[in-house]
Amino acid sequence: MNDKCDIYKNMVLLLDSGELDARDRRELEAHLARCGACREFQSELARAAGAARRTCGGDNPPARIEARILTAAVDHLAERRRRTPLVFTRRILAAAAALCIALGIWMLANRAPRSVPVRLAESEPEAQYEIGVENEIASLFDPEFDDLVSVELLSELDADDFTALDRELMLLEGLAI
Amino acid sequence: MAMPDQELLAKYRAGDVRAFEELVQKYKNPLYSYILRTVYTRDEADDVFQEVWLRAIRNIDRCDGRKFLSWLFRIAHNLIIDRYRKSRPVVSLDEKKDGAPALVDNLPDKGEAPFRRMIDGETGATIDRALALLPVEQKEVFLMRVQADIPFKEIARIQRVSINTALARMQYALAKLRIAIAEDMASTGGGAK
Repeated sequence: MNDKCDIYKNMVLLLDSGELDARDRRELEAHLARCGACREFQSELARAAGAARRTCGGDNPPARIEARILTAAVDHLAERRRRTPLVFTRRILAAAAALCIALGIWMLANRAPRSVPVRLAESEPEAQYEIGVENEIASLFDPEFDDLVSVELLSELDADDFTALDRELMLLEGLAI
Repeated sequence: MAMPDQELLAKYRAGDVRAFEELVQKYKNPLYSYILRTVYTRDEADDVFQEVWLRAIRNIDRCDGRKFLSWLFRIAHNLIIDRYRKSRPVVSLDEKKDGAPALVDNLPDKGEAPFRRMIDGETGATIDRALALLPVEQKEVFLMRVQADIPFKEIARIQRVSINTALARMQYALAKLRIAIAEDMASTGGGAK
């Protein structure tokens, strides 16, 4: 027996429990071949385990305790069954609420951008034309949009409209007579 | 072939009580044996055993079934520790008191291999008396390993100690059992051949 025997005894215990890896197993086998104390420990473990298994093998709880446990198991299942529809309904409601919120957020994020009308600047009148579709019609008929024109809409206007618009623009720019 | 614990648990969760009954039948012996030798009376053992299973039922969804027996032992270990804390202080043979050497230090390195001399008929009472002398933490390791076949890695987790501590406790337990059995045999005349 040497100082390292405690380590090898731990290995014997791990070998018995199936937790020793192959490398350590080979090392242990080499040690056991030359160490009587560790071999004796290994046999002692086997005998102690065998004796304890024989002794404790007949220990069983009283039948009434087992019956109570099984009754509790049945009650638990019944309770689960009672709880399940409520839990299911709650989950559906929660999912529906989440869906509504998500839909609302999506609608807010994707709603058509409200065109911000840009007033004509004297230096770059063409670059300032508002393109937003929503305001295109309004810009023609709403008095508030009198001074606005839409580039897209220009393509849809006929000759008379152009004449009217030209006049409007000239008026805005102070060119009209 | 016995059905794996995971399947039995799944069947129970699906409404099959017989699957749970099978689990109780499968593990009642090692669990009850461990509890019986770790508490003081049979009534106490019955209470703890019942409470372990009731807690297991209440928390059944937390266990995936891969280490069901270890899980049961962990519940039992926690219950027993709670009872010890509430009732009586645990006297450990490892502890040194008033500067005196710990009882474990007085154990001789080499025994007379009393396990070898044990005769089957007298084994039960002898080993029971020897087990009763072990400190609870060593008795736990011995019973979990020998009786329930729980690996040391799991035992260490249950006791919340390192695997080296669990292994050392097993070594101490075996050494003390050897001494206790030798003394028991000497006093009863058993094995003195």
